[in-house]
Amino acid sequence: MAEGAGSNVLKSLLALARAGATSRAWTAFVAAGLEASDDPEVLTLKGRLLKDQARHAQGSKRSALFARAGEAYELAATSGSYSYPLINAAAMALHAGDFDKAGRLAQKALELVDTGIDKGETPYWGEATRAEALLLSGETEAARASLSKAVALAPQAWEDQSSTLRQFASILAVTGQDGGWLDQFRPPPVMHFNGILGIAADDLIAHAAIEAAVADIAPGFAFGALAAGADIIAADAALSVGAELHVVLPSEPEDFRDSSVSPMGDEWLPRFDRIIACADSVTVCASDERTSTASVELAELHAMGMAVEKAEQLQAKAVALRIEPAQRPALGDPWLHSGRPIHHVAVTAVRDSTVAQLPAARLFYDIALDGNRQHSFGTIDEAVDAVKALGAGRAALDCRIGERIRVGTLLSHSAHGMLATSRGAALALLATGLASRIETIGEIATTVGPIEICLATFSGPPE
Amino acid sequence: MMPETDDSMAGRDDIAIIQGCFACSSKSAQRLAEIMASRSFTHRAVIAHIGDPSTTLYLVAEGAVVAELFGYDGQQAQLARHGPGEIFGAYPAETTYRSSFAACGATRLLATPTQQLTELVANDPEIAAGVAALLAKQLDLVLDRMAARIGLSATGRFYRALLQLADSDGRIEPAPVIAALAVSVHTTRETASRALASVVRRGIVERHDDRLQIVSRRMLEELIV
Repeated sequence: MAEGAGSNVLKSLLALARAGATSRAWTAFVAAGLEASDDPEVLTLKGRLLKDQARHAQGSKRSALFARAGEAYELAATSGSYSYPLINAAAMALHAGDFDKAGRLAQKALELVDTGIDKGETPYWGEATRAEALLLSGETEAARASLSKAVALAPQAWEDQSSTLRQFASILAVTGQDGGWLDQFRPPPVMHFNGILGIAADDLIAHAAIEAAVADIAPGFAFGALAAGADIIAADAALSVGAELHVVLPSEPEDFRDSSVSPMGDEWLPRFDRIIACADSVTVCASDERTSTASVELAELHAMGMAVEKAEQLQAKAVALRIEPAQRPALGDPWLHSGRPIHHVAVTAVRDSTVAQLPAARLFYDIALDGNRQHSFGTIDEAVDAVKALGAGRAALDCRIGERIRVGTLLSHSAHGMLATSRGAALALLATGLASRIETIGEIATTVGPIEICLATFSGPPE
Repeated sequence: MMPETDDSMAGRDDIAIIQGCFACSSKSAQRLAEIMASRSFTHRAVIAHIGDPSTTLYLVAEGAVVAELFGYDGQQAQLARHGPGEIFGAYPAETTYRSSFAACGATRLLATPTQQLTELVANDPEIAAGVAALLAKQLDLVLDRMAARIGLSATGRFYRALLQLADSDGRIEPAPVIAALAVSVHTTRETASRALASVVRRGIVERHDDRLQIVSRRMLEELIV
């Protein structure tokens, strides 16, 4: 397909599919007149969209959709010697119940890889394609060895590995084989951490308990803020077990250092500076704002959402670490309502948690609906209920701390009835379990800075 | 707050930033660097007050700058925000600041005295073309902001720039200065470094001593969102 408008259409359809809008993506694909196209890129997307629909269908309809997906991939493969559409065609044939065809196509893909005609798009994908072809040919042990080799070629290609693992699990399920051995290839858990500020810097008991909990979780990725006390100890512990550390702050590091580290004692400052310097990323949620109760709440949701997003991308487990006095209930913790696992570490506070000393501010959730209607709510649940009450139609969601309402600028990007959100609001939806998937579709330039924009799919049964 | 003046722009990164933003030769970039100074500001540090004489053109190298005004009701209003690769200040003539400017996050600016830049533009066609291109780009950004039009995300812009730099075999030689490439696509060095690390980790791009090699053009294209 030519560069430009056509390519943009395919990208927007792929974004819809990735956001979980399976049937909307297909409707838009047909409306764009692409169903009869013989362009390999279009055929590959067609295969993907039919495959997504098949996964949500039952019985003979499911088999028929898998068969149609396979045909699209097979046609795409005829345009050249590419193993990618061919191996997908083989897997679709298997899901459609045509085991012979699956084996034949898998052998063709294997030949392409073995003869070096197609080495795969990356070293990982070359070997992973070989592994999948072996699995589809019934050579499970050889497939396992080949998958080990693929992972060794790109040990941190987590996104690609998760895609292979998903595919392997479904093949093993169809062929009635045990998929337990796949667990050795799964990425480590993603951890969100937070806790109280009032822990003494020399409290060795608290340090030991937090370090033991982090070692027990063994996270590969950790997300959280960096206030003095529990946050800093947990972040340090995550680094010591080799996790990627992603710090999420409510305000610029200098502001946050003054508001949430320094007041707890100067002994925390060198630790804060060291961790900030070696973190894999530092995200500032509201760089125009000073640290306040609202910006802390926003940063918490942002960090939780990022942890959930990472876990979803990698097909990994998302767990929370909560560090607080045993008697303190965590009723307001969105993680608690999402049903995901929480590890609690009980500590003794030496002074009151000082969030109350931060300037008070309110976090608002703004929605925009068709007909230029805009409303603001104090909780994300109320905002989502209002959007759902609308039914079909365009809708946008944003969250904010200051007076500046931006949600109206998001509304025109609510394509195909999907909810358009700022990234902050999308992450809050993920954190609270109100959205099952989010997909970034670009950025809007505004006079007060860029807004990254996402499409979100509400949790619930597939549309 | 007084800015910290770093040095006289000798760093390879700054020369590369100038070359990237002005699309000029290294010789012209060097001439411009000789009249530029690097100035660093801490978060919220005031760069200029409303009514101050404006005698400098600034290029944002890191961080961001916000233009603020106080309305008749005494409320502070943010007029604009300039990120990496954007310019603000006086050009082609010295003037006075019509709003206050403050740093947002740790910010580094490349400052050129307006008068000296005007003289250089008159004598160096490459710099003149670069200034014209920068001003046109800035106008485009303003229009984008007025229309709230959707464009690529920061990582998408970075990946597109990588593809544009590559030859038909996917080679980018010499390896680009990431800080400079980041500024030229209006993003931060951190965002660009993370974006590159992510595709290197997946084997989509290989990093060699002297070059970058795009291994899968299709996979990189798919990441342009």
